[in-house]
Amino acid sequence: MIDPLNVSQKIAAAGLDVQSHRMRIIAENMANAQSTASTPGGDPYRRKTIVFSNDFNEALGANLVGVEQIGNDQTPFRVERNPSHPAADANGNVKYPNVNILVEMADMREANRSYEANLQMMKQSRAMVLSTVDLLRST
Amino acid sequence: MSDLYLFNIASQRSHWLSLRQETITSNIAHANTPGYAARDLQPFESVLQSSHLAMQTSDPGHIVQSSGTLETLAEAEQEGWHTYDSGNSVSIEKELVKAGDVNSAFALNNSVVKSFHRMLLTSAKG
Repeated sequence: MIDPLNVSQKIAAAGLDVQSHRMRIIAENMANAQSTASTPGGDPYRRKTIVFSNDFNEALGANLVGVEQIGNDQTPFRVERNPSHPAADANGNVKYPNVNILVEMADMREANRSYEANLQMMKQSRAMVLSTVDLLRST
Repeated sequence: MSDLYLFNIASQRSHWLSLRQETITSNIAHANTPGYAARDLQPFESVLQSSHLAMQTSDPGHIVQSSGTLETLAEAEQEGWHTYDSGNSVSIEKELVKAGDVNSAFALNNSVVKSFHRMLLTSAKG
């Protein structure tokens, strides 16, 4: 049997990993908030989404968190009229990505908060292990 | 030395606390997983009482009931503060409060073991 405190540190590590992955996707979306197509009338950057899953790990005997899939947001693109743009179609309309900066910011805050919570759990589990080891010291 | 059951209780309690810590960490790690319901352990008191009521076997054919270390720690689904549209009922604040409780209880438990050990050493050394 593996010590539950070690397992708890591994679960927290999986949580940290997943949240940093989410942060990467958010950064990608934010960076490409204005990326249009390079060909006239083509589709611009499509917003990416991330879905988490609950995976059972046999070796640890615990439910770790993982990335289920990275999908594409199917909401329609924002269309603006700008005939001089290289990506404008025959009518002079340009499609812009379906990225909403405010939504991404809110998502980023949530990822940040979850990351900190996971980090806190890791610190606490570590402190518990250390305080048990301290029983051997002194006396 | 059968009267000195304190070490036994202390080790059961630290086992229970570390399992609870694992459950809380799991809840926090799944704070953004769709459809995940927050879980918690049975209270330590009920675990301790059920372990006292373990049955003795007088015949090899009897089924031994476990003495309540791991099996009785079934994770009961708990009522969350709120549930999101995605079916997730984890509240990070609540879990962090519980983690703080676990942490201080663990520290207390370890101090009790330490001082009891010191008392034992004092009496043994004379």
